[in-house]
Amino acid sequence: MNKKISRRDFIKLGAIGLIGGAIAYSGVWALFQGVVEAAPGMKLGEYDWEKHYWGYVCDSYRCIGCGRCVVACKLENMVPWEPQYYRTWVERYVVTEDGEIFVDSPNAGRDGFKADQINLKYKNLNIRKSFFVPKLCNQCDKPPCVQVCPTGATYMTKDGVTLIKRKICIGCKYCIVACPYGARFLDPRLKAVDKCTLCYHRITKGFLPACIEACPVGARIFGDLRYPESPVRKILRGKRVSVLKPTLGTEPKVYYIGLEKGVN
Amino acid sequence: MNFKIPHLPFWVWTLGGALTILAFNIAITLRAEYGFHLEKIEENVKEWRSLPIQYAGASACIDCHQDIYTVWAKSNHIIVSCENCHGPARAHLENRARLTGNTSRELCELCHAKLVSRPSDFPQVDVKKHGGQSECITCHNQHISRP
Repeated sequence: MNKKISRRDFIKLGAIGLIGGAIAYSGVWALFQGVVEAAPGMKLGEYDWEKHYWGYVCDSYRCIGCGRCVVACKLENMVPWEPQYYRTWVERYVVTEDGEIFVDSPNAGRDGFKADQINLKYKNLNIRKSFFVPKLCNQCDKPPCVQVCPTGATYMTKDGVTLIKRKICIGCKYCIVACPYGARFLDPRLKAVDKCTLCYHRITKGFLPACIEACPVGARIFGDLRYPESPVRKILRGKRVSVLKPTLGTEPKVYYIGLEKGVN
Repeated sequence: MNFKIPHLPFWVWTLGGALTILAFNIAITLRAEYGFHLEKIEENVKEWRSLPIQYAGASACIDCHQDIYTVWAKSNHIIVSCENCHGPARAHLENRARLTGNTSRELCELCHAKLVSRPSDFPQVDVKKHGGQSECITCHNQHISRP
């Protein structure tokens, strides 16, 4: 390795390599763009995934913490009944007059929030306000879980739902670490990762997700972001909405009404 | 360990390095997002679509249970879907399995126990001081939801 190369030649070589590499890369990328567009249409019966883009709203002003959504999701989607496995959950926030924030989610809200717990746990606190926040997979437009999956098992459909190929998932849990919202979990029976699919088997047949059906107070709203008069689009126009962790650039499609400073 | 770097011209190293980086980038980018294994995605989406549906929704109950449905639909509990208390309808629709309604005090408490976190305009009561240990339906009809 003692061959001498002049500085001029070195820079020339470097520049050629860089430009050549960039051209080659864009060429290959452009080639594969064509492949995606030309792929056979995903009509799948009457449902056309090009015609919908699913969105969701959680209204924290309305949630009463009954936990019926958690139970409905478990029964609809065969989620293990044990409390540590959940596709959706409800958190309770307690803000004291000093500005201290307490968060809890007993059994992910599956059994509701019992009166005893709050009385004993928060008895001596000077509570300024307290509220519930329902949470689920935020179906990000730039999903970190899809980006880190080493096998490509998790992917986003054209109608905006992130799904998992259970047979390809190796259970490495990289996506669980990558998800900033804690939406994913390892199903011990499947030995693959599972998460909220917006009840994909229901919404592609014109039904609503199970959590939406269960919620008695309308704290969860589902709709088509492509359709201007859908419930979600109406809320995006009429109410003040926000998302969880907007600074991470995940561009979630689950919007929240009534988030507070300490809610993450 | 005697490890000798093979003696190759400089341009081979540069080209090799550039191609390796290019190949690596293509491998990462062209996974699921760009349609690599697209045919397997279609297969998988079809699988997800064809999972069995467990909850039917309240409108499925009206066909056979018209009398209780109309009573319930006039009450404040119209916001509580039938399956919230009776369980998912699939078994009932498939082989007429009995869906007994949960009339326990605990179920009513899930929504109606007084908690500071609940909106103040939501009907809630101190469950320790109200009704002892008896079931709430002793006095409150769950489909009419009036005392």
